[in-house]
Amino acid sequence: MKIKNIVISLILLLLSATPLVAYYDLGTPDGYVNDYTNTLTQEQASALESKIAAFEQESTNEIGVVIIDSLQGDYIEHFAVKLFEEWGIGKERKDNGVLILVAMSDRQMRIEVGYGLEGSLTDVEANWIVQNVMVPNFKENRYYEGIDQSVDKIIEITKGEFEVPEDESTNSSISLLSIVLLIILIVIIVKILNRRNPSCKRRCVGTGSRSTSLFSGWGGGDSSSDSSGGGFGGGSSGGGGASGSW
Amino acid sequence: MKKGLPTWAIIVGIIVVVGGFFLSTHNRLVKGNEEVDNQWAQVESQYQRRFDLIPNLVESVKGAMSQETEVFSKIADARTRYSSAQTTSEKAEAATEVEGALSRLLVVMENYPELKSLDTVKTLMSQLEGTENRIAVERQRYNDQVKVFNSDVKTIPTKWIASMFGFEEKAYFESVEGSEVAPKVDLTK
Repeated sequence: MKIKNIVISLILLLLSATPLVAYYDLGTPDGYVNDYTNTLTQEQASALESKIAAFEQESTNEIGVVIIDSLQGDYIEHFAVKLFEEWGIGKERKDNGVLILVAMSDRQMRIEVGYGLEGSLTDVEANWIVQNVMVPNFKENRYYEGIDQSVDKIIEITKGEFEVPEDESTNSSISLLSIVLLIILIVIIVKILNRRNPSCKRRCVGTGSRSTSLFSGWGGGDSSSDSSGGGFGGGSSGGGGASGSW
Repeated sequence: MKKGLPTWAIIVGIIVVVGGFFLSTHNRLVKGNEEVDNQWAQVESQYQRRFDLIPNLVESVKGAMSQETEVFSKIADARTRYSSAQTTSEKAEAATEVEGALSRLLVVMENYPELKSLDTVKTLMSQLEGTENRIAVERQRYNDQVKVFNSDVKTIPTKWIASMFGFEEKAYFESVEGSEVAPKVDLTK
């Protein structure tokens, strides 16, 4: 009976981990500018890259430019939030990232703004950029110009933005301490158990199955340590920004 | 018979292991509970944002839409209900009502193309669009948190400890059909 329950709950857990909507993984980012469609030339991409890198040096704000072919049926708002989450655009805790997402064959674009920049780059401003900079340029197939000028505008608007104060992290040291204490306790217990049984001098220490199965229930601390690859620093967004189509 | 350690030491050891397991599970549940509550607060703060935007929007379109009294009174009613809501479920319910009334207004506004060219309306609409999208995102994250917490609470052996300390399954945010995607406010048409 109980085993059946466990199996069912495990299956449920596995099922609950599978995503429901059509967001697909783009892999790890390669720098700030990620063009999966070759819409930009090499020179254009690297010009953008160095502009954004210089801005990052200056302000720590991170701008990600992503050009994909298709959203594969997803909504651009959803796709942008997911991608932002996955890549962690912006610095951790500052959440000072901006994502410019362009889906070429869907003819849609979005500027997704991280939590920390919502105050300086408002929805109204993002919408203005989409409607007045991106759309007119994109309509004339001037994709690089549209993106480049949008980046300029974003830099202009966010300049002079205060850095969001970092809140100090307290919990990590505590959980580390308790983990260390637990390990010490386990070691002591294993030693005690082994000493009771004189037949194992060395072998029995830490021969896994018992102790690992105990451990597996305990570990569940922070899952937030999951690192985001590429040049981005682990920021997050909450749906701020604006979308448009051309 | 050679005795390595006294029995009491073994008993203490077992108590420590079991106790440690209880404590860490309990703490994890507390943390999960806290995370769900925190995420709900995020949803509510976005609701508040929408709530604050509505009077401005209504004010700026009311003049041109003077015949549409029903729409406006529905919005006013829903707002009143939201501000008097106490519990989480009351709030969620009232928010759904606000949503319904608001999307009705947006539909009716389609009949007044001259409104959409007004700068104030444009600004308000892009704010509203952003807010609706934020609500959708925070709500989705709320549900994700609830999913994690609930599967923890329902899984053995956490289940036993959860029921011991009175942790219960949390309710999902069940949205009206289609509202997991923010209503589209399109100004380009």
